[in-house]
Amino acid sequence: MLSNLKGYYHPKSIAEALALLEKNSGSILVIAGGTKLVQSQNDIVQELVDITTLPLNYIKKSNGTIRIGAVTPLQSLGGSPLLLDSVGHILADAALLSNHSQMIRNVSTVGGELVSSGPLSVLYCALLVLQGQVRIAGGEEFALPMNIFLNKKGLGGGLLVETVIPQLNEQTYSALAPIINNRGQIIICACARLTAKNGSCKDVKVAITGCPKVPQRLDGVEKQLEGQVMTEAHMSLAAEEAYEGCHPISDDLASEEYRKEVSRVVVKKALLSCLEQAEDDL
Amino acid sequence: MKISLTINNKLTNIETPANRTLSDVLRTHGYWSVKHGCQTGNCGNCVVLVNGRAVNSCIMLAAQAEGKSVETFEHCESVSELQQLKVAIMDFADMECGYCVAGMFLSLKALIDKIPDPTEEEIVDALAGHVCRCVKEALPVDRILEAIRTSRGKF
Repeated sequence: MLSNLKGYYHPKSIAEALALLEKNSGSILVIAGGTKLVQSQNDIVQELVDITTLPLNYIKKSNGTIRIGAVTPLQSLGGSPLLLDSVGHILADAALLSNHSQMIRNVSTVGGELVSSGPLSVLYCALLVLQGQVRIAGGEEFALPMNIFLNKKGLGGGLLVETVIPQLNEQTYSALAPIINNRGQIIICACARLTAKNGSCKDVKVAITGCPKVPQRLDGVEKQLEGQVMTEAHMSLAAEEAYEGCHPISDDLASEEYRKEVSRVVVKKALLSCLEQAEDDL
Repeated sequence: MKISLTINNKLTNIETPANRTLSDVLRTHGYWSVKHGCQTGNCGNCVVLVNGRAVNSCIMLAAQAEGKSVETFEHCESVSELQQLKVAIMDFADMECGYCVAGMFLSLKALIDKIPDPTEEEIVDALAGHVCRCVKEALPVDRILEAIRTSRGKF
């Protein structure tokens, strides 16, 4: 358990944190919640930069976007009225699904979850359909769309400082649908978001976990449903496209064949959940 | 490295290697209610409150608690208003060995401090991540809820 750890820093500013990371690159890592890092058998890391002291714990609205600081605990997403009002239940549900234990969610951070998670991360998946971006502080600050960030290896000495999500309009609905085993582990999860315009589906975004490396968007489902009338029949038909578009992984939780088979089930459930919300609004 | 934190309302300065967990450090300083369990954050026996939030101290470095307020079960023992709740929980929950009680109690305390009148669902969520090997079936949440209601107004 971090057997070679010698130094631990509490920087007072982002600039100080970046300077530490640059000076000692190779053997230094960033720590926020540390729930995955502390129990890892990492013998390479010799120093840690604790960024929880930085003012990056916030959820706020600004210029039509929602900004979530990198060290905001996952548990805070569940209880945020601002998030609920701006993007619906999807992020709160994704945060709750990230770990069944509240003790872990109290410590795990949004930034940590994004940087360290893999193919089964529901938070990634939800941010994909919400078209989130991550803002990274480095030599210069820059923003990366979620789909590019997910496929990028490492942050190149930069520091993830916040996640930015466009605020959804009133006719936009989002939902997720997971399959969870009896130990609370997520086998597969679909996230969907769409806008109801004159009874038709617009701006459809669907993504699924369980794909190699990171969660992925399902273009086939999106194209099939775009512009269609919002009915259960159209959504069921579009969900069938998930079977063709999904190329899932096999692991100790489920086989590739199982995940592929149920992909259309979870996609349909997520889409129908959006339809239900739209009908409730009418 | 030197860290400074408040343990049970007492400012404490500790000299510790950087890689030691909070649970190890607390036990070294005599806080035996913090139990060693799975060491992976899955059993909840090591739970303490850090700035009022329940956390698994086995997967948190002591250095992460720098400047923060840590509360262990020992502190609750000295608060007479909490006795009623503790006794009620132990009586109601049919526990035999008591190994998991301290962690569960702290999780419930954190919940009640935030939500004085929790629902069954909120209790289930607060206790998810705690393992009790005596109560082999699901935890009797209805009885815990009853214990909280019995104790209401007394803490």
